Amino acid sequence: MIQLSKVKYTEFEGTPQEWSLEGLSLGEEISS
Amino acid sequence: MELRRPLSWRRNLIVGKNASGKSRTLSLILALARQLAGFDPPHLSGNYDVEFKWGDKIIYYQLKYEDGQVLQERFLIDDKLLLNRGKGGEGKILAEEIGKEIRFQTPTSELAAVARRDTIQHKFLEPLYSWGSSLRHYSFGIALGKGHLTILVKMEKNGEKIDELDPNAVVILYRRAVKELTDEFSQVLIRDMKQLNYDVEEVGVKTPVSIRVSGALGELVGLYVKEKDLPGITDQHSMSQGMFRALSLLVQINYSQMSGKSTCILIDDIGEGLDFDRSCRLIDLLREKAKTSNTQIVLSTNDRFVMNRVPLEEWSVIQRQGNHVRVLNYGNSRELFEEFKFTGLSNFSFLEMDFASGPPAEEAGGHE
Repeated sequence: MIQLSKVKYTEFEGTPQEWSLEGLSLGEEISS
Repeated sequence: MELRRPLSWRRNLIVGKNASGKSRTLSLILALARQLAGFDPPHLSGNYDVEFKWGDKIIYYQLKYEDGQVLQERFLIDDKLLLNRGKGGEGKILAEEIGKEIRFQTPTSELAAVARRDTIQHKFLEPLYSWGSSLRHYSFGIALGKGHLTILVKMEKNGEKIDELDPNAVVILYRRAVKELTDEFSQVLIRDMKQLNYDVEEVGVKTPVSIRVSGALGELVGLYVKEKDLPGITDQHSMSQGMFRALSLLVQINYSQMSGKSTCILIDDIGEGLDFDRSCRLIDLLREKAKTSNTQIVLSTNDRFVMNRVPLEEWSVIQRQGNHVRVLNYGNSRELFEEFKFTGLSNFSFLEMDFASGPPAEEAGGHE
C-alpha cells in the first residue's frame, strides 16, 4: 500500500505564468 | 516528553477561498498520477517534489520537465538513490538482480519511472505505477454522467474498452460492477444511499421511462432507483442533480474499493448541490469508508457544511499570495489551529475570518 504524503510543485518557473505550491502534507504526524 | 500522534493519512480536506488553488492542487496530483501510470506524456511545464509512504519506507520522487521533455528525474527509497536521470534522457538505475547500477537512456518525452518498469530488475518502481494507475479524480460539481446514455450504449455495443477513469462512464461501470461483484454491489449501494437519507430499495439499469429518444442505434439504458415511498421508478433523467451525483460517486468509489483497486481518491467540490443534511451524511460516509479501507481520500470544498463536519486535524488550508500557494495544516501550524479551537467558533469561521493569516487583533481600548 502506497500513500501520497507530501507535495511540492512549481510550473513555468521564472516566467509570468509561474505557479507554485508548497506545504501540502497529507496525514503528517503532529505533536500533542 | 513530546508525544506524537499520527494524523489519519486516509482523510484530507483541502479548503480555501474562491480561486485560491484548491482545484488546481487536485489537478496537479491527478496530472502526476496519469504520467506515472503512462496515460499521459510529460506536460508543458512541471517540477514535482513528492513523497510517498510505502509500508515503513519513504519514497521520494522528483520530476522536472519543460516543453514536454524530461529534464530531471530522481527516485529514492529512504535515502538510497535508485534512479537518477538528467538532461538528454541519460541516467543510472539500480538493477536489482544484477546487483549494481546500470546506465540507461530513454527518450526525454517519457518518464524513466514508466519506461524502465521491469519487475525483475527495477521492481521498486512498481508502487509508483500502482499509485498512479489506481488514483481516481471526481468533480462533484459536474453532472458525473447524468446526461450520458447514448454514448455509453454505443461504447458497449462496439465492445470498446471502458475507461474506468472517466467519471461519465457510470452506467457501464455499474453493469460491470454487478457482473463482477454480484448482487453484493447493489446491496452496498442501497445501504449507502439509505445512509444519505435516500430511501432507496432498488438500484439498477434499464431503459429510461421519463424520456423517449428516437433514432438511437441501440437500446438506451441508464441508472434508476426505486424509492420506497414512490410507486414507480426514478430514472437517471428525472433524478435530482444532487441524488444522481451521490449515486454516481458511490458507484465509482464502491467499485474501486470492492474490486480492491483504489488507493487514492480525489473529489473536487464535495457537497456541491446537496442540502445541509445530505452534505453532512455524505462526508460522514466517505470518511467512514476511508477509515475502514486502504483508500486515501483528498476532498476539496468551499462548502461551510462540509467544513464544519470535518475535524480541523484533517484540514489543509490553501493560502494564495500572487502565484504562490502555501498550505497550512495541523502538522505545520499546530499553534494556530489550537488557538482557533479556543475561540469555540465553528470550523468554517477559520476560513471566513482568514484565521490562517493570523488571529484577529484584539480590539484596543474600551468604552469610557
